[in-house]
Amino acid sequence: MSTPTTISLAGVAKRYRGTTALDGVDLSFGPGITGLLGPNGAGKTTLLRIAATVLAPDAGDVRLLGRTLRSTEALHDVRCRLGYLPQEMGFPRTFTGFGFVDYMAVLKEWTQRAPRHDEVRRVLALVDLDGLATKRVRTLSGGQRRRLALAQALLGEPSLLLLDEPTTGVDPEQRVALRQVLSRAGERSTVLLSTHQTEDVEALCDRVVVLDRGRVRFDGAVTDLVATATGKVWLADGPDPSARASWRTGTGRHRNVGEGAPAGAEAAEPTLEDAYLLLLGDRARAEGVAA
Amino acid sequence: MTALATRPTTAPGRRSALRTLAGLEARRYALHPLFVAGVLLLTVFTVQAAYDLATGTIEPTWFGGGDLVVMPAFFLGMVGVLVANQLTRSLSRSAEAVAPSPADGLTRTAALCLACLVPGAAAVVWLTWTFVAQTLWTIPPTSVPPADTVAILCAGVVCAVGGPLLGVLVGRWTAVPGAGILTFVLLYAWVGVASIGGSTMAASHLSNLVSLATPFTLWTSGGAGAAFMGGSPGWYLLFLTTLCGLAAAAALWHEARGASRARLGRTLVVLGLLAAAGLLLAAAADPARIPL
Repeated sequence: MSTPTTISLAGVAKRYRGTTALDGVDLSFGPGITGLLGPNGAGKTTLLRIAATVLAPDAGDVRLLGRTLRSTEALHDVRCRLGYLPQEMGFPRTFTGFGFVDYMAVLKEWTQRAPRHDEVRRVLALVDLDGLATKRVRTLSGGQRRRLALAQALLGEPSLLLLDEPTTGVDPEQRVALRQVLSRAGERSTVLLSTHQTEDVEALCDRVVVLDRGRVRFDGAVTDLVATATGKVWLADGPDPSARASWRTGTGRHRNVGEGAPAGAEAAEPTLEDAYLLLLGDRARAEGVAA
Repeated sequence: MTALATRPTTAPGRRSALRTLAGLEARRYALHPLFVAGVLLLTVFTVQAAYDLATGTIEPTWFGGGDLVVMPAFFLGMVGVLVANQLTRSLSRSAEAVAPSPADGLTRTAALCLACLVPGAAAVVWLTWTFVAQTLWTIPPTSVPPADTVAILCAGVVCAVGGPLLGVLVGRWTAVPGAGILTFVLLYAWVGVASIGGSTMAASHLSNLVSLATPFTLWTSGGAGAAFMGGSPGWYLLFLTTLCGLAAAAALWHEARGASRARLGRTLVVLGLLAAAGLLLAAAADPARIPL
């Protein structure tokens, strides 16, 4: 049985003052979690902003939840079912955590006070901020603010959940907790997860899209991308100059990612990060994959 | 999935969302420290003026006590420029998350404009108190026509709404930090220059125009031989009211798209013509000053 398409991008292009952010991208997404990977400037954020109705493309067609966005009504209906976490998000200085999410809930047209407050408490509990709800946002740590930003995106269990680097600045324990929240969301919603954290993609996503210079370089199952690195990752006593990437691991041995095996090397299990490095080569290495 | 997460199945509609958002913004306005400080200062000065009237410290006229009518214009209107501007800009740092909300910019701006009724309500309380005070202390009538007195006092209430609306307008049109404070300072300078300039000029239609072409004005020349300024307070009230409408419409116009934008554009033209007519009619009235 085919899954319904909830996000459809056909020939979508966007330029910023001569720089191409997206170059005729064709992609469609259905329920489940899709990871978006790519170096800085690859077009991930632009893609998310277009899908979030924040930005209009210069060319191409965008359909969300089966609707084009040409009428105000269609735009309104789609926005009612959309949750968006931007890459960078500031907060009003005077708001408490609860007050901010409550305000966002009103903007999402939760007009009845009691169910709105119940929903705010629910999403704050999901991101483990229920105990800090009455604290002013400016007193929260960076990771807590990131979770607060995620909470507003989760309001109303949206059908489309668009997350731009949701785990940046979040500690490992909280990151695992957030993975549980996101994996549950992926069971019923279309979740697009833009990140530099390949381990998050590996842990959460069944599909990965790699963007580079506004174009799709890879679109498929995470396991398929990882498989492209099979036989190309080696553990050796020293670095391999011909490798795409090489670094000394905690065990003292060098992990070499490249086509040929250095002398005395033993094959290692590839990760998504290895496959990503091989796919994008020097560009990924220059940008830093886990920025 | 929990039952709590289920969004209300019936679409609340833009009006319902506007009502809820306006309520939330009104609450934020009412709790804003600057507004609270403004209300406290207005109360202190009003009570002081009433005490002075009762004890005969000042002349028992409507316009004694340091131009009573200017108080709501300053403490609620001028301060309201800062309050409303801060409220309007407060979510600018979250703009990216706010942008894809079902409640669009037009609804959010309309809610902010409605929240400007909070200082208006405070000014109405002040106005009511002023009328009650007149009855309590049986203040003898002055040579100023009663209708003009009422118009001037009502102008204080309109200013209390107009200042905040100007704050919303500036907040919507400029993202420059400190724009609210700059507006406050420029407004203060404009009113000061116009009031002093108008009162020092010989009574004429031109002096009327100079002193009335401002968002609020002093209606008495101070010092010995105080006099009630020329011009028509009634038409001036119309001028101020249309300025409020202009500020709200211009703020909304910034956010509107399509047919709404065209409709608001036409509204702006009509309000602009009405404001110009109100000002000219106010200035065209008898420039003679009435000794108090």
